Amino acid sequence: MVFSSMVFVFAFFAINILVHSLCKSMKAKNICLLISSLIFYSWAGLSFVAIMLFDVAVCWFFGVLLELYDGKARRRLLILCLTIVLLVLGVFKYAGFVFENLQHLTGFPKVVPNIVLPLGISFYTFQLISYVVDVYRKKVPAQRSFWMLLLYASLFHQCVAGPIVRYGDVMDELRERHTTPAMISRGVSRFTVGLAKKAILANSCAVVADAFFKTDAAALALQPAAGLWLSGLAYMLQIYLDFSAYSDMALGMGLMCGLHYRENFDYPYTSTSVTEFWRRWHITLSSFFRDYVYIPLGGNRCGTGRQIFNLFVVWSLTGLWHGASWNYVLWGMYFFVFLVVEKFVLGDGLKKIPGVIRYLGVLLIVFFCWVIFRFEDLTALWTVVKGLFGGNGNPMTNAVAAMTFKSNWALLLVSVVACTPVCANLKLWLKDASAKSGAALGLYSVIEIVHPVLLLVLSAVCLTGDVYNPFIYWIF
Amino acid sequence: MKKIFRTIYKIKNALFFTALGILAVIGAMWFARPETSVIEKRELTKFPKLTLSGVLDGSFASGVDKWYADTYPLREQFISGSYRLQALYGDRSQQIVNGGAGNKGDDIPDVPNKGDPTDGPTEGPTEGPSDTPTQGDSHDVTEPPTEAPTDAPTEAPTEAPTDAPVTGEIMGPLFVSGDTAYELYYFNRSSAESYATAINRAHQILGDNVNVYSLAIPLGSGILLDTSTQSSLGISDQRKAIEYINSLMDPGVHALNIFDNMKAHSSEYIYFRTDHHWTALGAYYAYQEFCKSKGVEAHALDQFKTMISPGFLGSFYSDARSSAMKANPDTVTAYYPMGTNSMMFTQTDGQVIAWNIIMDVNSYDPGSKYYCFSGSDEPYAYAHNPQITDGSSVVVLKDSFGNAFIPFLIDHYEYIYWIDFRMYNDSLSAFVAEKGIDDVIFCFNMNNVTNSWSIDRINKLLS
Repeated sequence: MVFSSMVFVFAFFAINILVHSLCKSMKAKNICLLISSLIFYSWAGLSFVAIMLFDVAVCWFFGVLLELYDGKARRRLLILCLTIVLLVLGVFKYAGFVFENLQHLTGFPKVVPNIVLPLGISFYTFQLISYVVDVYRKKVPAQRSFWMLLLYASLFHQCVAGPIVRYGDVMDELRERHTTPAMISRGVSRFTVGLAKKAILANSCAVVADAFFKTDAAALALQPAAGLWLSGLAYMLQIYLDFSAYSDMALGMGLMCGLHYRENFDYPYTSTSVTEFWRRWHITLSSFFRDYVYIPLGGNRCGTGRQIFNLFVVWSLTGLWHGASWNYVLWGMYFFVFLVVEKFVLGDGLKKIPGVIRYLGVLLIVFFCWVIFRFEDLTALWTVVKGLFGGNGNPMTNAVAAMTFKSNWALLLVSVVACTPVCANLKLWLKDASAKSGAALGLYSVIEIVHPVLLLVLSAVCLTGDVYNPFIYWIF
Repeated sequence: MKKIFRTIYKIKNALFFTALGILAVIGAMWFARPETSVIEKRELTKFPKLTLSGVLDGSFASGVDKWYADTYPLREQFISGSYRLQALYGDRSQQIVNGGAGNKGDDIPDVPNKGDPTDGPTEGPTEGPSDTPTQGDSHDVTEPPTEAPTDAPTEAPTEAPTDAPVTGEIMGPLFVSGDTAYELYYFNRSSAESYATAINRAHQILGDNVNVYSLAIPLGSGILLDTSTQSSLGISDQRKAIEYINSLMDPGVHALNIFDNMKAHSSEYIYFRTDHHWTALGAYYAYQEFCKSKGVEAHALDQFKTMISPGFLGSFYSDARSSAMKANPDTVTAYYPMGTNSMMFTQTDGQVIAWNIIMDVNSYDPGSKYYCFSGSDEPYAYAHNPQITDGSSVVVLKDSFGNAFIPFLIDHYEYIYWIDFRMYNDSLSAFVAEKGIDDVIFCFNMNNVTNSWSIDRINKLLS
């Protein structure tokens, strides 16, 4: 069940929030959330639930054990636990990729096994890893109740596509939580803004992205450069609006239930360096790799060579985490190179470059990162890169490219604005002005009260009849 | 101030949850869920069957997702709203819809200048053959109607066919310009060659006593758009495509090329603006070419009585939902055959229905007015013209473009059969032998002529 589906919003979520609000005790609320989460997760296939239950059971068991042991035994238990959950992730996510490459190199095996990737496995595995490691580090106590740990890992708000929630962030709120009108109001806004970003903007940008970003290399080779740039821009907007929409909806639903999750995005397209971009993009993933891979490897405390090696490991893993395909590895390496250049070549010199140039430079780097991200077929990827510079022998533009731009310019403009903090800042400014001006208060009240209903109805309008519009990050 | 904000939040929350609740209750009204979409001409997604394997692999749940979104009680209003919203995305007076922008057809090989094989009636019979064996009895109606069909064109039945087609045509991307849309055409060489091979095979199987005609109908984009627009859209040259396909056909096949005659009349109302079909007037110009090839005289248009039905919003409108189209719908004009207006058709469930060749569709909904021709898309249909008694017969293997063409054939044959190649499952050669057919006309639009699925269907009918 996708967040941006009619059945989710108007059946599943509507019933869930009604029942949750009717539950008086915290235990009843948690039972409601757990049952809802298991129904939500089993929607994608009952067989996937078994894999998640196994992972949770392993981490619950080892979590409890970790509190009972000290010293080397404790370390061994952690390694064993991580090995098991990473093995499960490895088998389901990477076995096909490994066999495929093995077959390419050696001819073995004759048939590459078709292993279906369980929904959200990359997300809940990382959540469980963070839990076990934090228990090992004694940052959080082990959860004695299997069901509570299952609730943490399977919580439908974020289990499928993030944000990657640390156990410590929600540990207390899973036991005791409260809501206020202001908190619910923030949740309602986040939820509806997220829904609208996905249903109205991201899905429409996807149509422009697909217009010239064809799936096979032969068709791609025929596209004019202007069309490819247009599709690239639309895809760049789509991927942010799509992914951040999911996080917005997750955070919003959490707030409506009294749960606070970490922010996952902070307007990444306003960054003026690649380092800053990764502080603003998919924050919970980059902070996971920072806290659980980069720093344990030594981070920046062991000399330049070691730091570059650590960055290499982190970015290889970041690439592979996104998918078992060489383009994702290339994507990770792409960022590794830019980050190393920024850190060790440009250094403080970066700040001397005018802000506008830095800003445009980052946008260009990010533009090409999404081109790499989009095409798993490396031949297709190369064709697009050539095509963007007119290297496929086509005219630079044609009537179809011009028409596609003309018929979507306002959509793209609104989408660009939606990638910036303009609306949020205007709302804040209006709220501040409300204290001094009656007109400002009136306007603020109207906007605040009307926008969730308006966005909800407009999203429903866009989603009706739309039978399949998965989130991009659903496949990871 | 805090108190004011708190009140604002409370009102906001109450309003949001009320709206969510109302839309949820509407969604729960299963009895109000539509089952078909008149505008989209399709059955909507059905609630999936509950099976253990479906629950395990998630297909049951994804079926519920599709069913819920596709049959939401306010779907038509919401979808219409969605198109209105999309109209704000930019200047949509000219746009490509249905995806597919920037495709390119295969190169069409040049045809050596050896003369048009379709010219003149020299290869075809000058009259309907009279020496076909076992003709008389073979045309007896094997599926008698339950009621005698009426010849009166305006009489019952008046309702749209109950089993409106769900297959539709294979429709590619559209170029929408103002209140008119054009279907973009991309040539597929391999399918085109397979089509020619299939027609040659039909000719060989059916033998020299049966005249085989191939009528490839150009899409409106090839006739109505000027060369530079076609070139800027990157679409294939349909004249060249038809010439190439015809050049591959055996000399014994009557490979018609109606392109030039259609082009000569391109300023007339020969294609609908809001629908992918040609008009009856467009079909008439194809009929003129057919008559030339057959060696008979085409009836003049003013000899026919007409049925006129304004307010037609066809498949292009259903896909583009353009407000300009809605403001200026098409008018359907149909020409009553002179010999008879009675026909029978057999539905996919085997039921035989008496119908009119030209149906008055003034009471039909705006999206169904093309159903006025030839009983629309049914697997099998026939008509008997009592004004002709020479035993002459024709079978038209057709897609929905053929529907507008068939009425003109009625006044040239005693027995007229038509088969929709998408739904008919028996052997064409057995049918031709059984009925002692004189002429077989393959009558498809260019999308079907160069589409592998269509060729497979044609080959299946020939096997």
